Amino acid sequence: MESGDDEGDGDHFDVLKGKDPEAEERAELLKDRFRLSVISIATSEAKKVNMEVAEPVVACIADLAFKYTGGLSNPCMTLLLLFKSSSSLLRMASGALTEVSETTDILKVMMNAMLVNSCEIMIDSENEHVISSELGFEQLARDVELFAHHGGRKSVKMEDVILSAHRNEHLASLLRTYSQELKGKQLQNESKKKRSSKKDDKEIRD
Amino acid sequence: METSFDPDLIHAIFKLVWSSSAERDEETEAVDVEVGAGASKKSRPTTANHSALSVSCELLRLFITEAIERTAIIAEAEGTNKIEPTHLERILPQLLLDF
Repeated sequence: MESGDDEGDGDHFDVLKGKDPEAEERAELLKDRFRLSVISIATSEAKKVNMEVAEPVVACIADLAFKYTGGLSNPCMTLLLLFKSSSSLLRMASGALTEVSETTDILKVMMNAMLVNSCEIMIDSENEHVISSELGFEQLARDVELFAHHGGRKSVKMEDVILSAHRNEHLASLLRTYSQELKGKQLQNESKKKRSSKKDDKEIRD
Repeated sequence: METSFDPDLIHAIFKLVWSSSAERDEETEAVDVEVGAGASKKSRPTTANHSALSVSCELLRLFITEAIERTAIIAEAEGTNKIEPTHLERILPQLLLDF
């Protein structure tokens, strides 16, 4: 398994680069901060189940999560894992026993795999290399924006975020309980403020 | 208290996406001269509510947690206590479909 460095295939991803260097720098900064958060969350979660996480695994999860949120990235390692996981999935489904190792074979497999819904792969037909891919591009940010606009709003509300999790009922209900807890806390804080400001008014009058 | 994402960080990432889609919408409107100035509902970029950001942080935290816990199950079944990329590989399709 490779060591998770995504500089190797830099040439292949030129299509995504060079559009706006300043925005890219900002995105890189955000990506690094994001990755740090992921590392801390992942290691603490792993500790809870008495496990250690290999570094490439965390890097890949960070990449995917960043992509999902709305950042651009060129995750060679992630791509490779996706290829392998979808090809193994297809192998299981079709009962084939041979290893899929050629790039073109992998691409063909990817085209048929379930993951093709969240990946847009541009293929350089001459070299048959993947020159860019947008894995589940901007899913969260985009979905949430669309829901808000659809509701005639410009500001994204909690409900929009919960709706974007509709694919998994359990996930949606977890988010709903979380949002209700949040609302509950907010109401508590507001009533505390009201009570304390009423107290202040009373004291001033006295 | 669970470690989670910083809402401002998530907000910043969202803004990156929303500003570029606001630009895209402006461009398409420029082409659509007949529609006129009245239809510029999307002219300003989307913003987010504070609680929406907290819920988004929770959603992303759940993504990470799910990934780790599902790989941990695989790793445990194999009898090791270190999570390796091969474990991740096996849970990846279902994870991406669930989110």
